[in-house]
Amino acid sequence: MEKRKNTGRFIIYFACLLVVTGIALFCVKLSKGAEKWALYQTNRHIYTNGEISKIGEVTDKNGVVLAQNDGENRVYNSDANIRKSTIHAVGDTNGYISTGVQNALRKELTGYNLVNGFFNVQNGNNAVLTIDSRVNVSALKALGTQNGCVGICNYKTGEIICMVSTPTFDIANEKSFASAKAGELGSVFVNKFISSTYTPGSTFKIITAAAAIDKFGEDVYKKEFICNHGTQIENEPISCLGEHGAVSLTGAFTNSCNAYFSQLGLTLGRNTLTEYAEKFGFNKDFYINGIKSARSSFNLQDTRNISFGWASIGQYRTLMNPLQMLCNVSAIANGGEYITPYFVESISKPNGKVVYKPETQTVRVVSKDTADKLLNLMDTAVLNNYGKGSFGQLDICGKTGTAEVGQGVENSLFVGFSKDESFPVAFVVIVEGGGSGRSSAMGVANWALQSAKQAFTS
Amino acid sequence: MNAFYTFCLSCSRVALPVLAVLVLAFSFIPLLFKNEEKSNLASKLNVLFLMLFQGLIFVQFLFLYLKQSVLIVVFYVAFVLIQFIYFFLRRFSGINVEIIVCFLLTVGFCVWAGVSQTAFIKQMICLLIGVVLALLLYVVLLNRKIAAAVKIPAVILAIALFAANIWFGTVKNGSQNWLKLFSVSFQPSEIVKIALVFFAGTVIGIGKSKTGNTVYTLFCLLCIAILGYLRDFGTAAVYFCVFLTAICLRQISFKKFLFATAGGAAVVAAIAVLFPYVAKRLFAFGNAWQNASSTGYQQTRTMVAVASGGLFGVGANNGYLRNIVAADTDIVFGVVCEELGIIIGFCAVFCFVLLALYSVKLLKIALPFYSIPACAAAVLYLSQTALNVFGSVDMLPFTGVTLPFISNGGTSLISCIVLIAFIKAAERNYLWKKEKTQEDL
Repeated sequence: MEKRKNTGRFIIYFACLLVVTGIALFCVKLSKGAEKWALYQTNRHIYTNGEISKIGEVTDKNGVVLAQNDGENRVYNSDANIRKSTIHAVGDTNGYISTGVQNALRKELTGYNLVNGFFNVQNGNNAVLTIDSRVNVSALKALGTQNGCVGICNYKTGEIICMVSTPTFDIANEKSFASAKAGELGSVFVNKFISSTYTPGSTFKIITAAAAIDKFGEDVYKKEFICNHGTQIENEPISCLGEHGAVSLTGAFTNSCNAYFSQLGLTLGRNTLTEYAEKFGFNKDFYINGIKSARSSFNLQDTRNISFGWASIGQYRTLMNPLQMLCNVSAIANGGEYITPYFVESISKPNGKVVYKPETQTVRVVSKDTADKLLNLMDTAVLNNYGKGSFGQLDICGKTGTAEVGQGVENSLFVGFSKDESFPVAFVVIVEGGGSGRSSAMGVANWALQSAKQAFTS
Repeated sequence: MNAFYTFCLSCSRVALPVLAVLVLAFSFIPLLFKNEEKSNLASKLNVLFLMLFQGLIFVQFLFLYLKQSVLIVVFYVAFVLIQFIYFFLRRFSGINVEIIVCFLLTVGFCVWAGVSQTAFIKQMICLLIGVVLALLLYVVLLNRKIAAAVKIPAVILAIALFAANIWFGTVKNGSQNWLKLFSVSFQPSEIVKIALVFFAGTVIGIGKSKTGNTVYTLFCLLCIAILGYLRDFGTAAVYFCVFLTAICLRQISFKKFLFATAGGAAVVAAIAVLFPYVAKRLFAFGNAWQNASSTGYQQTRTMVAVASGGLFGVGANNGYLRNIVAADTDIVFGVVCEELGIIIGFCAVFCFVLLALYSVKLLKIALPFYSIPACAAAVLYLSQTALNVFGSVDMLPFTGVTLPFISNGGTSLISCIVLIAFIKAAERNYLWKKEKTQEDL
């Protein structure tokens, strides 16, 4: 048999190999990118006129419907305050609020997977949030015309009960939505609780105190520094609101003495303070239901001692993220460890089958002993300074903060938790331009907490 | 979607990819292995799988087209019947290439039917023309004397067509690669392809291989240059792959092969220097998502469609990609994946790999006059498929080449079917020589 040897045939084998390799590479590309491609805003399988439509209902923890489909349209709750106070958690349908559940978890809401694609997509899946719309409404009313955010969570479970960010807008009101889109309402699409960072101010003293407690042990209570309406570091002043004289940890914490904590910071040293800042989540990424929050920052590189002093009391260039701070106060309330917070409880198919539940972890921040000592400091601060009566029947522990953010503007902060085991909540409240922590944030916190307590017991 | 349609669709969308994989698997066996009996059995089973595949598509067509476009259903049924009669007359053996082609055509039907009834009928007519011309070519090829006589007129015709294209060509979608004759638009490059493949096996003669190779090289380079001038770079690349394959198979030295590849690279470099905006457009691939509203529009929408279809598809004509420009030609892979599923999309690509491997098998025994064009045709299909598929998903430059058999193009379909004649002729020659040598033994 005349068989021809033709080495030229290898070019054909090569061509086949190239094509098969190409398909294999495409499979890799597909496995990495399929979700991103399928959920792209031009995909008419799930988007109609640029708005996502094939998603189910979004309800709060009590079954109050926050968003649902009504024929061709997406409709929100009939109460304007509920709409305005929950819009950042729910999100819009165009993706302006990228951290809302309607955008961030649209894969689970549409029920996409690579095997089935978008075959016969009709109603989408339903989401249940952990927030209580009544508490959100109270927090919104308490904030009034001021900008800022309120976050309340159950520190035993990690569920977020309240998450409000202002400025906000009414998605059902065309004018309001149009103003928001035109940029007339400021950073209205940002959920500040998740996506902003703020100068912590005196709330940072919690961290400075924690570092000192761990480093000096029981002796820390005996350590004294002098406050002369402030102090001087290398001949530059750090002012303090009061003249506290010779003061030690508990007193300094209660009165939020800048002189004490700045000198304490210098005594601890840059490395130790940075170490503890990072234990408390600075320079790290936080996630809530898989959504990445804005990264906090604490950096003492190339600082002069005066700047280090300011950093020890939460000024200088330090920036913290409200979600991060909520985790920290939850940990203090909960024996040193927090449960990763979440605001989406579950997403289920119309027939009830659960397709998404957040993965939660327990994260240790400090030892139980240190946490208990910090708890006592925050308890004493309310007892001896802010007044337990400021919170009615609630047993609240907390720390105020007055953050100077330049041009004479001061942000008002109040962070803390309830000591009562039957009402185990932690909170973070920030009021931009609110002045001292006591004047604004504490009042807003009280309103929101009272509402939360009612909601809790009902 | 009414409930009954959804139910039928849910069942068929799972069964169709399974059947497609079976057709491919059972084509693999007889195409590449020697056992006659097993091959025949495999062929018979394969016909069954193919007909089941076509039957399930028919069910979908009933829901989609029975009311408004009944002619689609009629033509489809006519095709399936004629196909079956043909297989029957061939006694279900030696039809492996036809089975693959019919599978690809069925996928094509799903694409064309959704465009419009007119488009579907036009494609069916072109299918008929293609089959008639293919048969003609088959007969010519098997008669060496006629084939030799046709050589020179064919060259003249090819050059004439290209000349007409340069002088009278109309521009469509950025390339001037169209001619209008009596209100019918066609692409001369598709017809010249046939000449290109035909000459791969002629103009050689073993003794005269040096001059033959030079002549053939010149012809190819001329065609490629013309295509470059007409801005149809995709087809130029395909021609170059065919040229490279033919040259390799004509048993030139490795040195000459390197020379040819270097020549190709030089041409590409020249284009890049002379027409920088062309180079920019060609090498802009890989960034589709960053330019999703401009240069990456079609590629990103294709990727969205492929992901939306999943493995099993959303059902014939239920996709959204087909609403985009060039959905039935340049990005038709996306339409197939969206509607019939990624599995069937991949099966279509692997069909061409199978044809290429089969043509290599024929090399061993058939005469070069037959086997080289068969391989050239297979490489043409393969390179065109690769450019079309990978271009549409941004892994290669996005060019205007069609997906053989599946894209909605009349001239493209005719030329693809005609090229099959080369493979069939080589197969005939292969079987004839095999029988002859067995007789001799």
